[in-house]
Amino acid sequence: MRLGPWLIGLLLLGFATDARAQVDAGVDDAPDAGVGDAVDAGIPETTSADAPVAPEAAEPSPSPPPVEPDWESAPRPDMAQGIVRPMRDVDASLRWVPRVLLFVPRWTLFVIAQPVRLAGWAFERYQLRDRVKQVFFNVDGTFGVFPVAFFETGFGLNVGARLVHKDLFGERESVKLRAGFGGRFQQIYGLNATSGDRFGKRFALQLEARYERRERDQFFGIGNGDEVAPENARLPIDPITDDTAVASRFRQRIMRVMVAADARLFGDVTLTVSSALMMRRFEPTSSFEGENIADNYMTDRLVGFANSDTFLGFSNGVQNLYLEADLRYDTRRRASDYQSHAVNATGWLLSGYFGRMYGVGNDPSDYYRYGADLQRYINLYHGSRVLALRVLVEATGGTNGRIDQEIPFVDLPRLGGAVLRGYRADRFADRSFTLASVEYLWDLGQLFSAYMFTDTGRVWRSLSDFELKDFRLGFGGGIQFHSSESFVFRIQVAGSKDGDVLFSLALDPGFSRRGRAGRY
Amino acid sequence: MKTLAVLGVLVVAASCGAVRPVVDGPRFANQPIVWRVNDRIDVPKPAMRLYARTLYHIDGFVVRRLTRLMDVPDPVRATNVNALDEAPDSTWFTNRIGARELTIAEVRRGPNQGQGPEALKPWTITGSKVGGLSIGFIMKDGEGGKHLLKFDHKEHAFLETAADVIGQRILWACGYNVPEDTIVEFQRSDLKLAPDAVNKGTFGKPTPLTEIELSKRLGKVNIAADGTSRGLASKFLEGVPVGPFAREGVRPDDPNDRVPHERRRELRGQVAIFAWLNHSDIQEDQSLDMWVEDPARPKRHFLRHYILDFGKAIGVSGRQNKWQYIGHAELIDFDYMFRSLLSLGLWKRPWEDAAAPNLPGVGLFDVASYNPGAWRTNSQYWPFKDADRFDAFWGAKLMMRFTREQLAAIVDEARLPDPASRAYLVDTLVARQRKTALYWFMRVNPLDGFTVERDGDRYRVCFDDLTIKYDLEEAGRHLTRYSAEAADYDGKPLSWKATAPLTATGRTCMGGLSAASTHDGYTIVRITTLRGALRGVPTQVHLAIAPETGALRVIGLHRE
Repeated sequence: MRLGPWLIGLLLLGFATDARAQVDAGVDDAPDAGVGDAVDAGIPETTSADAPVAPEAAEPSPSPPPVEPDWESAPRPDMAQGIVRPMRDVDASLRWVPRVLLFVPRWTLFVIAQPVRLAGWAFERYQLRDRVKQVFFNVDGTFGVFPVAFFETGFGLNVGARLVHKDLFGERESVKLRAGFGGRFQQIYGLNATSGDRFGKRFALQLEARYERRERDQFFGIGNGDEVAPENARLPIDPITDDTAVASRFRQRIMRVMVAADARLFGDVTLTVSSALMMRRFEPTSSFEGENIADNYMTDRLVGFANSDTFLGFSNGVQNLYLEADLRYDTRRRASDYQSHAVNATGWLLSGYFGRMYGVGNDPSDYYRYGADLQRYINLYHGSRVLALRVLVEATGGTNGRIDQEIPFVDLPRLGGAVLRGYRADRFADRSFTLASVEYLWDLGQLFSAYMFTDTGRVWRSLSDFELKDFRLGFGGGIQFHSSESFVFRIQVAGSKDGDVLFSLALDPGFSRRGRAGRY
Repeated sequence: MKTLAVLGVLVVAASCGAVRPVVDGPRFANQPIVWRVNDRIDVPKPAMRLYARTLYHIDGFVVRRLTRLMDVPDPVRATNVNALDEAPDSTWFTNRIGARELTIAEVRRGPNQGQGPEALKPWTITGSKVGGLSIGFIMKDGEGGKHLLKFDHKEHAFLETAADVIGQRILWACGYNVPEDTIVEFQRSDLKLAPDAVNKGTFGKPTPLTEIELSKRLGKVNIAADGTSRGLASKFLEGVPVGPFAREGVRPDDPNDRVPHERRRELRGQVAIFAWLNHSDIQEDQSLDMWVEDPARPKRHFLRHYILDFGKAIGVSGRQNKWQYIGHAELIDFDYMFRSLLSLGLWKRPWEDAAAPNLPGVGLFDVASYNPGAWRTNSQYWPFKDADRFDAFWGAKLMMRFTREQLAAIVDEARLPDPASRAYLVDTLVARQRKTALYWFMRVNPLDGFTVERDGDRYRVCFDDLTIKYDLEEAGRHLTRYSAEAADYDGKPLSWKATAPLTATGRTCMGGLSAASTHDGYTIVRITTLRGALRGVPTQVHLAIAPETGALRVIGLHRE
């Protein structure tokens, strides 16, 4: 997960008060005036029987000299009651029973909690938050170099470092550099730069360059086929003609450079034009027993695979250029000031995009991609109960179907993971897909929401094959953790009608977008 | 055999009757009521107590919360009260409102002494504030008085400073030790930078505070068209700070601290007062112990206990931080989360219709959504968790002693420019005050101000019905009456019984009482309030003959 433990601490415990200032600043001070109880006119033996009277307003007068009462002869603080025979507590007689029963669990809990308590104490005692900030960031907090470690379910631990500058030339221009090792990636290096407000609020540029070595990417064949165990399948499978799905993994190296321009045309309408140049290499992996893609699939039938000798010119992978225009009408927002910005509760997203892929050199990539994303958020109550609906369609075209081998297998529209929850990432891939989602989200408190969802969808050889048949169905729910400003993560349990049950730490909000060649 | 069984039952019944008094409860010493306790024994300077916020909340929300539950503690009433169930004067608390008349001028001034910093310009900036997110400076007024100068958030002008002063004045009048806080207005030209002014860095490493930096910081606060800025000057407390007081237990290095804090009446009773003020941001660092020299005995020292920082009172966080649940739920409220989760969000939570009025300087402070019994702090504060209806009744009594005129005077001290804001705050304070009081007065027998007077050769017991006195329960007024019975020291009934109707003033007397014959005439008068068919829980008034006068006097009070 992409957050350090200190972040959780900050979010949970980020109360800001100023009282400590007096402690910090006043140790060596003993100013002159007394406080509070300088005026003491003696206390009656019973409280006043008369109604409080508000005397006429008078000009403030200097306080009379303090008259110190006789404290010496007063009893000690625990002796004020004067009780000579205490009241019997008849209800207490049986409390020893749960006390005895809970004695061991109570002290076990206490002992187990000590490391966490110690960490909490050290966090404050040694001002670790400030020290971390001081060590890794400049005074303004605009520039920093810091280590990162996160764990992704199914992929493991990733460690690395980031360099961030959020205000390069004074107009919120940002640049981010990252390097990471482990987990989903064996290696990843990235550069991301944005123009911030340099060109005003309506226009922005973005540049991204990445190199990734991915060790564990998943492949389940092509098509809407049911998953079977390798021992029950006729291996190797021809992914072009056989939809049978067998869980497989492969290695991938990616070099990508992407530039994008966002222009707010008017109101909530934005046009994004982007271009990505990508070079990718694929290899089988033997790290996962029974999941080696080369054992399960005829990789020479997968466009771009390294051992392919069928297709002239790109036996070493794929290299292509993608151009895309995305027109968006986006009015999604929170519906109440009292709700988090992370919870869209009203509005629409209407997005349509069209992209064209060109092979570079001998790469035969030659197709176009188009799609639409329609989302509607319905505020059921004060922005704290939200019904969200979504229809997502994506398709490729300009080719003659699977056999023309013009679409690299990694660029096929895919379902699974964040898109078609309840199924593993990239579980289904083909030349098009349709997806419909319904999600109900309700507020649990300042930092938490709960949600339930149902996703249904499937992939198609062609959108013209569409019929209401053989749809995959995922469902589930979870708890979303967010700050007042942004989404943090979801803890989710999801299942599918095919029997999958997945517990996951989801790093994307409900209706996240699927990566399209070069974008996102 | 049958005869033996019958005899056995009779013996058991008789012995039960012999040991179990008719009127149960404590017995009090025949002595004057204690209104002052001595927690001023000379102590060496204690060590600075660290407030570890993260640990505090780990314990509060999880660890100590669970271990407290598993301790299965006995419910314990406040233990530092006197025989009348009141908090005596101490280094924690000084009886003020109700114990004596507080003039409008007094509540307006609060604890503040002298002319105040505004009359003592120019101010010399000696450093910048440490901690917190907002801008602040340390400054000296023209007489050398040292203050912390704080400001409102730029987008919420007047809000925190107004809340602080209102909370500070009210809590001072209630009896608490608070700093001298004042709303101040100044021009940039009123500020001088001391040559040795420093920024005290986070880790204590000072760096020079320059004019440029001072101006840059001042540029981030609200400045009116005429160049005036508004701030809150909080005077440094007398003595040496030694850290906040704990929410549980005692301070081990202070021998005067003999009552566990979660059992202190003045802390537990705050629950009703803070609910009234919607001051839910209660953490240990809103308190401070000061090691002070005893004014009566120089060179001897003790700790005085302060509460601080009321800038989040009056529902400020509801507006500033957009925390709609403020005062209704904790930041992480497992109770409400669980209920919301199970109901799939169909259950409407109590705060969901609440909204801050669109008035400058006013937070999310309303009457409609306010439920005094369900009010909660942002985080776990054990004195409030352990508070019972008697503590809340005590706090509600204090709170009800404020008149509308006094509250209006206090709100005036917040110096809000919009009369509508001032009017709203006064109206809401009064409405919430009455709602709070009615809630807690319904949960005890709301009789108070007990006296015993000669009635010929006998005595009469007099008391106030606070519900009637404050005109809180119009509907039940004409149905209210009181019944009383008496018992001796052993709880055995005396022959005296009485009933009395309500009087117009709410003060009622019941005559014809004779003192019991044993234990200095120890007599327990057990009074029950009846409102129509509703019979309340009784209150015991314990009386005994004072040796010096030979007459009955009130020596104790026990609310059942």
